[in-house]
Amino acid sequence: MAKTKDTNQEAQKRSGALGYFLTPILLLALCGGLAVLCYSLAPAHDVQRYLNLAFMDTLKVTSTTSGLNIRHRDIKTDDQNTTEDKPKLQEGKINYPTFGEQYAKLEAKSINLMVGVYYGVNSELLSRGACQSTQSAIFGTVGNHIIDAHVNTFFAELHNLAVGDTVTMYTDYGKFTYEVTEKIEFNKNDKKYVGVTKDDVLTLYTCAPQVIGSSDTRIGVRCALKEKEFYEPLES
Amino acid sequence: MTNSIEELHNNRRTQRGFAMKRCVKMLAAAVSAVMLFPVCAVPAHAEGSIEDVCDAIREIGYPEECVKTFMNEYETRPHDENGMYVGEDYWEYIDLAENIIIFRDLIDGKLAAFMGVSPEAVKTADPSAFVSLLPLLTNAAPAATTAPAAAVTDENGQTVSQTTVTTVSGSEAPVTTAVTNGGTHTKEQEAAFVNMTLEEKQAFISSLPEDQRAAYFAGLTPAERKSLLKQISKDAQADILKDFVEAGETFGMHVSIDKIGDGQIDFSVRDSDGTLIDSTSFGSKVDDTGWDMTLPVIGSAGTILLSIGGFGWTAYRANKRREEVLNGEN
Repeated sequence: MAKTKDTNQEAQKRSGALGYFLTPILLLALCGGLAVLCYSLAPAHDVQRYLNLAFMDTLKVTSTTSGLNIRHRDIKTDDQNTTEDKPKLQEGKINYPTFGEQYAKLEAKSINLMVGVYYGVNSELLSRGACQSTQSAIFGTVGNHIIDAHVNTFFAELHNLAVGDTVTMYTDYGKFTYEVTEKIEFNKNDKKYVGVTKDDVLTLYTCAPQVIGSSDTRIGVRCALKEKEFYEPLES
Repeated sequence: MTNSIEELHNNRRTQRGFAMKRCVKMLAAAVSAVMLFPVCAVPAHAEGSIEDVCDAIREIGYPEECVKTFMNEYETRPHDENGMYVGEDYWEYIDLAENIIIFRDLIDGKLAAFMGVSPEAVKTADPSAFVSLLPLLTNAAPAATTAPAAAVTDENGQTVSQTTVTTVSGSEAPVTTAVTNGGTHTKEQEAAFVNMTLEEKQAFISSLPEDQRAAYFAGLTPAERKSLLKQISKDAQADILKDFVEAGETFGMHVSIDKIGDGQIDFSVRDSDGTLIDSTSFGSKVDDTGWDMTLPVIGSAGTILLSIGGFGWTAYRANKRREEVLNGEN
């Protein structure tokens, strides 16, 4: 009887130890799963900002694309470059960007969006900000200005832009204000909105949000130029 | 800009003459049809201008998006009213335009060879020698009549003879009927050719008198060239792409084809220092702007479920042990 009692106590001790061992592992797995799920569903660039802070920027990815030269221009987004006394220049000097250069900032106050715009599109630049197609018109010239960004990051709220909202492009040579004229939706094989135009339009697009898999549908907006302001006159 | 271009002029090397391997970056992007259109080989201005280069790009069938890319790149490079720098070399616009047209001829030769026509014959052919025939493609039941059409005069008042040929029945065989315009590659001709399948194009070319086959290729329009390039075999396309890549190498433009598929060709261009100049595609492109989160979502959901299951199992075991202890004491 005493021996049976001892065996039972031994068994109980072992099973209790198993619980003590498993519980923290399960807890870790649960927390990790929740963290990955949140990172997957939330705009990743917001999470990335805190990760950079937590890990002292060591998670920032340096350029991995061979030959890609990423540069940033000093772009002011307030009106420091102009004063009320100076007439606003309708024509002016344009500083043309090179591939990989962040040469503009896009602001849409209605959706609390402020993002840097890189000239050129590849996967690495898309992970850093919005990208402008090299086949589109540079801001300050007339044509279709095509900008896209990941729906998982910077353009997560793009679908909330409404007709009439203002989109402002800041560059180091001028400020260009657009107004949303239509919301667009198209298939990735439809090139209607990414071609050359004669009018000055701004096209913003991203993938349609989809939890599982990647969508073939693109959503976005088309905007018409409302106001332009150059900071320096054309060279004579 | 003037000062910098003068400095560069002092050190420049100007290369003239046909240099197939001279290629601005947009040439490497173009696997579109290169059309031989000799009339447009002459630049609009005797001195040449950047517009002549753009016109040459359009002439060989490059889409307007390529022209836009070129102009964006042009603005970042030292240039003046006579020419621009491509890499370290100064090119006059007239030379650039002419070389673009010449490069187009190379592609036309390859297309002709693919269709069984001698590239050498295409080089020396007179496009106006082609008497336009209008192939009518029909899926309808075969027509049996072969009555000749009425004679019609062309713009010069010359009577253009016509023949009407009705081929064998069947939806696959083209029915050809001569047109009466006396010209070459009319809009109707172009539309008909573009709409043909590759087999129909080959049948059409084969149906032409031998002396007119080369003339036809010598007068290809950009749309005809494009349609043919899309339909030729992958090996033939790769051969043309290889020429474009090699053409860029000589000028320090390293072109790499990133992806071919879905009717699109993605490529990257780097200069002699290895700096990435562009990463784009031929024609307008809709980018992939969404990450596929299937694996993280399913993986994390599975982990959460397993964790919850593990907690449940642990709680069950603890409860069972407690009962055993209680029963054992009793």
